[in-house]
Amino acid sequence: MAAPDKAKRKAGFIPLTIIFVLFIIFLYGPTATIAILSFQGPDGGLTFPMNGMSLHWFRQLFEEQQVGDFGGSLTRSILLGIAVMLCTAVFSLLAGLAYRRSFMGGNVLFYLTLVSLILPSILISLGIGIMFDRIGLSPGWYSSAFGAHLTWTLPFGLLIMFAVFNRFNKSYEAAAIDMGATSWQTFRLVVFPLILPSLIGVCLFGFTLSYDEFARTLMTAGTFNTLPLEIYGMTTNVTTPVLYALGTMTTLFSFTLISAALIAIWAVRKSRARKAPTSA
Amino acid sequence: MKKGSVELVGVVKRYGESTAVRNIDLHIEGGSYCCLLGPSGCGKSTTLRMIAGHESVSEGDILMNNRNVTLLPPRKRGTALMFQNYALFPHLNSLDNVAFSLKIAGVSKQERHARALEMLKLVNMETFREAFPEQLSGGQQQRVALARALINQPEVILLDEPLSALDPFLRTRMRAELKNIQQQLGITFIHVTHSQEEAFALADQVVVMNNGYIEQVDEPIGIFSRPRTGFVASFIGGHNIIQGTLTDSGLSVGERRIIALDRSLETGADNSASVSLRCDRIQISREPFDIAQPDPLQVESVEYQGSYVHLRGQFSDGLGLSVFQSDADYLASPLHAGDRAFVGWRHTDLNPLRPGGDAFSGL
Repeated sequence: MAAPDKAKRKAGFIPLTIIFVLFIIFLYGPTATIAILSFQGPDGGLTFPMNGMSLHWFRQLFEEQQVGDFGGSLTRSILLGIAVMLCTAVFSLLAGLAYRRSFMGGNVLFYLTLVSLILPSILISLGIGIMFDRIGLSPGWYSSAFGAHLTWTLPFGLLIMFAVFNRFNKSYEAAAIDMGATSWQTFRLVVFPLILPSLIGVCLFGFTLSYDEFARTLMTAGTFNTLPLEIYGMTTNVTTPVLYALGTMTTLFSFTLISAALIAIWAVRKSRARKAPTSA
Repeated sequence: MKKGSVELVGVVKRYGESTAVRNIDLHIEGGSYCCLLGPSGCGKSTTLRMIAGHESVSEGDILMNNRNVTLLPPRKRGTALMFQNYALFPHLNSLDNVAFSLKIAGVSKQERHARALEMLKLVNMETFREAFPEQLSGGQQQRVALARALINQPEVILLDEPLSALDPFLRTRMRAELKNIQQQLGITFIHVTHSQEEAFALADQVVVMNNGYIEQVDEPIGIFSRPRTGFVASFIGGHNIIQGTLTDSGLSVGERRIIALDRSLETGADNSASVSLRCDRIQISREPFDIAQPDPLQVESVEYQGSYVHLRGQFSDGLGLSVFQSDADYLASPLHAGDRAFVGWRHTDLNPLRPGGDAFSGL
């Protein structure tokens, strides 16, 4: 059968393509606009037209007195993100393994876990903030906000591990046991390497969910702001394109992280393909 | 006694209320090729997994070399299981897959790689030692899986439908390779399959299973020429099953037909009895002949099968028969649907079946 040529396209092709392109513009337009405006000249304002091109606002970004504590809030967000990521990965993996066999109260526990996904984030944030206050602890980004983020990332991590283990072929484990492996050896040498890519996915997911979390941090961060809170603060009192420079920087940071993960996966694939014989 | 003998004594497997395997007794000679044959759900895979130690035994004992292994873990039994889809570890290359059990046993890297390479040579896969499973074809994966099963010098290799993932041409080739390796190494192979063709080609001993029971244990020739039950005769194919009532003069079928017998039959309730008759042992001709049935058969369908022609027909009293006619006889005087033809057989070709039990009905 010949490939359909342009004349034979179905009637819906053109309107659907237009809708799709509009959606893409809607999706990426704001990011692109902010990226362009962040290169505004020193005399430029928050809107078009561009008044020259410069890196002026990126330099401004790192001067604390000018725009708030960008460096500090970025550091806090990254540290918090890493802590949340590690906890999410470890606990989701362990919980995923536990749910492979049924245990008493497993169902109830599962629904309890899902509840924190369904509850509005801001209520959870408020609740944790009030709880810390009642107990007499002062909330902080490394304590109450850390817990608030986990209420968000852990259910996601668990759901991902469910999907992973649902697809996991049990005969790999049976084969390992047949060859005399203990359950620990089976986990270390077979199960763990096989689910590692998914586990890295859980890590990335956990990190990004925490890194850009706003609502759950709002009432729990205490004295020092995380990056999303800091940016929100800036929008009310900063009226220069330094805000855009900040947006561009954080977007670049996220892209770098994702690219690094993709490159790592690609490199592993490539090294395997190279080892394989070229002749069939 | 030869090494690698396996014996099942009164083995039962229950899953809650349902019973997958009901009281099986079986002796498998050391160094032989045994096929467990049956339709899906007959308990053959469960039986294999119990022998392997991946499934607990509800009742009864499993003996290997007269040693009771019922409660031993898989590795302590001297068996190796080859999985249906081979279960090669996707993150390890061929060499590391084969060497896996040596790694578990703490053998040094150099030695385990050397021994794994020996095994890969045995199955002609040494050039693929660096390849990962996803880079191998089905047949190549099977060879690696076989090498992995063989590396610990097991006395018994258990194969769970090892050829089902392959295309028909490759299946025939890998079948021959399996048999070769089995004969070369002289170890016991227990092979689960639902293909009677595969079982006949490979096995020294065929175990036909149905509904958790063993229907018959015999050599392939014995299974085909003397099926013991209606199930066996219908499952292996190529047989007519004739049911009737035993009378003094023979087997009475329908209202008037009496089929003469030369041996005694076991009868069930109401003197009912049945015999099997191989399709290729029925003579068919347009003209009546000495041993032909008095009335002609109405031919209903004619299927050309290459070396033979499959004719289906019915007598006026309702008795239906399948006949395999050699292509030479067929071409000498071709019959067509709607023709009438006389059929006959020698008394000695009627094989008595044990009463009771159901025939295999396909799906």
